[in-house]
Amino acid sequence: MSETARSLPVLPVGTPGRRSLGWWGMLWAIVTEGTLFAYLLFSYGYFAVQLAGNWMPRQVPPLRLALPGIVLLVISVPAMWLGSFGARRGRTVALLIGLVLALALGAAFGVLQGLDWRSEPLTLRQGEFGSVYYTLTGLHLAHLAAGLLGLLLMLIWSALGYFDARRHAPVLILAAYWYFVVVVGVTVFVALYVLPRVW
Amino acid sequence: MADPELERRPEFATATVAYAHDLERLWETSPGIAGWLSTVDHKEIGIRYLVTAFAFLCAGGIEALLMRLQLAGPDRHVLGPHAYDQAFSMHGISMIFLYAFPVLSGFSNYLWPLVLGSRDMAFPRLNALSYWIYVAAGLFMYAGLAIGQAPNDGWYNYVPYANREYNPGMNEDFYSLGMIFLGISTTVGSINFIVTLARTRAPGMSVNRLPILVWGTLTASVANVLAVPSVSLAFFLLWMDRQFGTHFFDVPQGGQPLLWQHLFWMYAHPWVYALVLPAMGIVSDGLPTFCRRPLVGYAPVALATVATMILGFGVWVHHMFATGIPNLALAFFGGASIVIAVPSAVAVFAWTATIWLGRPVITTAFLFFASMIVLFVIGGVSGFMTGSVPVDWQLTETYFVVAHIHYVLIGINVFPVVGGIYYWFPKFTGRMLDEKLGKWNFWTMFIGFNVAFLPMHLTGLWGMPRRIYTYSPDMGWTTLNAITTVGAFIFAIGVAMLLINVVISLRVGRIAGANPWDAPTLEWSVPSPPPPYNFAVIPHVASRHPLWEDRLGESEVTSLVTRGLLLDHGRETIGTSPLDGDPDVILKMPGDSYMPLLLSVGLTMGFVGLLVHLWWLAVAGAAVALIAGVVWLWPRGTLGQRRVRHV
Repeated sequence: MSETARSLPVLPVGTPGRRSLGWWGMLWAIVTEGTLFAYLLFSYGYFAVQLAGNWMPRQVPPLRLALPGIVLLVISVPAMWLGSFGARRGRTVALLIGLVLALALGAAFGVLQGLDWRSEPLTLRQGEFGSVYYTLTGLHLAHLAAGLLGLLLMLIWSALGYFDARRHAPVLILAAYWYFVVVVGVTVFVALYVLPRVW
Repeated sequence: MADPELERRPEFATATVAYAHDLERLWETSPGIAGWLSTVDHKEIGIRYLVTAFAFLCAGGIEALLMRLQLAGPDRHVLGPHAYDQAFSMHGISMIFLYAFPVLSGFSNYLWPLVLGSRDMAFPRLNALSYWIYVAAGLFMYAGLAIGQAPNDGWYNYVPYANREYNPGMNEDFYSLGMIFLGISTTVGSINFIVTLARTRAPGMSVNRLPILVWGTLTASVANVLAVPSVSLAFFLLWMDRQFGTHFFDVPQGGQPLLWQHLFWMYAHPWVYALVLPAMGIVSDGLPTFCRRPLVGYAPVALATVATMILGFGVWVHHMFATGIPNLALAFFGGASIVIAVPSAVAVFAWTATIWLGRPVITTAFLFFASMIVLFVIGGVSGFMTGSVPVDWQLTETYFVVAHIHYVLIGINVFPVVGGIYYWFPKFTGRMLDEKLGKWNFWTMFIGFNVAFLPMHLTGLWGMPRRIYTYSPDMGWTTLNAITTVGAFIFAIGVAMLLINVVISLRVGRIAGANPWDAPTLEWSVPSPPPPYNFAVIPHVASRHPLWEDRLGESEVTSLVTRGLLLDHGRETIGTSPLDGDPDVILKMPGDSYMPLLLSVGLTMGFVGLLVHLWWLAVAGAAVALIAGVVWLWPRGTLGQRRVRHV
């Protein structure tokens, strides 16, 4: 046996957590999707600079539904964390509880955002702010929907007993995506609900 | 505890015949139509990319020749103004989006696992998906041409021309949705390259031992991940403006036409580098083989590649010098555009020094690679000129800029690509391209190209604006345009010679053997064409030139290509750490799958539905795509993604 062979350690096989290729793929997917929102926020800032204050609707989007929504979405972070903690330790109960909670909280945010849209006097065709408002929240909702779908699948797979302490990369990958959805949600909230009030 | 499905120490040995036979059975694609539709073999996908990109090159070339016939003399009537608008738009779209980048993806797809010492790309099914979407998006945009409603506002598609008010047909909808669609392909392809490079290299291949070839595509892929969302967003907003009455770009409602230009060029300028950096990588890789020595200045060239791209993100406004932006912006972006000449020059000097210090063997591939240096310098200087704001004000929207972009894109993309075909055709097919026809091929293309485009600088200096469908005999542009038309046809004959050479050599070309050029990198250590599993044993790499170590004497340890890791518990390859290339996992690779094709079909249905407002079709397409995605991602025991119950 040569030097190289003797020095080779015992290697994990398949998809061990963050060494799995899927984890790396998801990191770059997050980078590119994050950039998408960055360009949209750039466009928002561009309007704000070019139109210099003449473009805000008379009434900025109300906080009545949006604030509880974003709070629920933020609370889904520890829930998701509990899920991935359960996965890493091979504790299926913690995994299931975490996923169910994250799913419920994320769905609640989606419902509140939908209600917010219905109660909003602003329309898509009402000036630049209306166009940006619906595009930004809409794109975020689309990403949220993908996350909810992922949570649902993960719940099914976990309930089928697919994951244990050594085999749980899909949970970690979904968790990374979910945190991204929450960070974007908070950013969108600050941009559309907080900044217009501060200006 | 020692469950071999969870962890094991890979065996280290020489491949036996029986072992290679087992690998063949594990990795081969099933024959016939089933295998054709479901294959995830990176070599098959790479070849498909190349063939499809050349088909689009021919389509874009025919559009160019029609335009040249129209402009051959004043007041001609080959194409009317509306047809001419569609011709130049589709020419730009075909060449820039459907040929120039995908052809480089073809090379990279085929070559990366081979030069990196791996058995496939990191995400084989994503690779197939990327190809199917590329084809579907290309046909989607060409469908517009088939019904006479192709995109007609040029490839950069400025608003307000492209707003519905001024362009009510479906032309721009084909373009908008087609580009969002194509963006998915580019993005997943780029992520695949990045992760492949970071994680699936041969043990020992640390970052400083990467083949020079991969730096360009790596840099371009990172750029795509950051830049493609900008254009996808721009086209999405345009489509919303056109179909749902939003107000991103329409002036009467406070929309901002310049926002389009910003979003478009923040993408399209980096994109131009994405079209040339991988091609420069081909030259940096191929040229030294024919100069019989390693590339001069590996590290400066690699760093210059990355530096060009980083600077490339800060120069988009030089496409907008004539839009009335503030002086400070003019100064900043003019300066940045001129600074970018520095890293470009590093590569030029490195190639020249490689030829100077080497013992050049004048093959067809060498001629294409070496001529690229000349064309790059001409295109670089004309670009440098327009980086200066006052010069740009004089020359913008004239044929000078058309000459510049063609020197850059044909010079730094087409010439290296054709050189790359001559270089790697033996690896792809096992046969050599004919060298005699090759020399004719080169000189016809080189002369035709320069006859067509060198006088075009003067056409521009004499004031001929681009994108006009005809001109009056009094303008003094007649002779120059006639010369350009003649050159364009000579160039086209040159491209035809390549295709003829490929067709003939596929049948009767000389048998190549594993390493006909005596080249230094890993792809030449395997048979031509390579077996489905690429490497029977995973090689161990100790230098940048594993096959030249005996004569370079650079390192004390030698690379191992015949003895290495045996991996045959299913489709397996090794995963290595990103910087040092130390093995840290045995990866399970997926087999052939219909899901990439099905997902592409679903997305195509979805985009057609959006185009013609058949919402049920869009929903059905999304459902098909969703089902394909769920089946695709469903955890499999054979891939080590889930627990397997032992009986």
